Amino acid sequence: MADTNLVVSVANVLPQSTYGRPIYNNKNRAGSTITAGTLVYLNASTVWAATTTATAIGVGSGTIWGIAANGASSGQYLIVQTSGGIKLNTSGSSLIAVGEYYRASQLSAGGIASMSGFPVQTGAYTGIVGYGAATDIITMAEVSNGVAHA
Amino acid sequence: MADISIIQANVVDDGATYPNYPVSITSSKLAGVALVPGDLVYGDTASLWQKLQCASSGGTATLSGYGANGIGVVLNTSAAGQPVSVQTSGAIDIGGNPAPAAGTVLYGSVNAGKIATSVTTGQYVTIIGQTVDSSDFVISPNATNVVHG
Repeated sequence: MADTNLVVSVANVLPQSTYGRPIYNNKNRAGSTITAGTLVYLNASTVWAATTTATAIGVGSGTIWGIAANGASSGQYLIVQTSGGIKLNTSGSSLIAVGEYYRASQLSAGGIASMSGFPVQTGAYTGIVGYGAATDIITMAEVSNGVAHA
Repeated sequence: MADISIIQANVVDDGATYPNYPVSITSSKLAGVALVPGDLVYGDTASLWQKLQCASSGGTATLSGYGANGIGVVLNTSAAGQPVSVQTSGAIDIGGNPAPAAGTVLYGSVNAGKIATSVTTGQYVTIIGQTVDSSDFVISPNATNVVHG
């Protein structure tokens, strides 16, 4: 079964305090053009970059991560939500399974995908970025192990 | 009166080039409308950033309280309700477009979110800052609450 990214609607990415108080990191710049809703990590050059399957959420180079709360071009400051509730699409879009865990996508950089329903690629990291709180909202909650899937 | 030209993708704070003009950036408020880098904004009474429009009528500027919650220039891209970074003082690079000659005073425009090089009769006068080279200006807002005679 193929990996499937959550569909993100850039203009509808919004903080959702009723599902956990949003906390932001606004001290670093974008390393490339990044849009709201992209899963990012602070790379070795201390700029925000889209995650890849080589990004181990919560450990090593992926220790500082979050979801872009707005958009920025390379060199511009990017506001990144690091905890709390975040809406990723239009209300009631039914794209998120409530109670399901979500992680960095194996399909494309910066994508978010569900933990179950497909086989995890060998060598991919499986750190959890959050769980479905509503059909359009994820509550960010890191579960990191730093272990690549065998 | 012409609004100055801005290249959104290249808008960035520029305290590195002009350390004598310290940069202040705030990210504590959300966007009230869709905003892009280079937009001129003010903080409204609901603590949202809105596009500043210094028209004599139909604009967002009024004679009471205008500018009290901050004026600045947007540094990144945000939809309504998303957090946004706004530079409220110091040097800013607006993208490498040929700007007015160094020393030119800049004003809030009659066009929402825009910056102009002059004011016209009947327009609220809000000074935004002054250019320092062909690409940079220094943000130093001053809402006079005066209508140009």
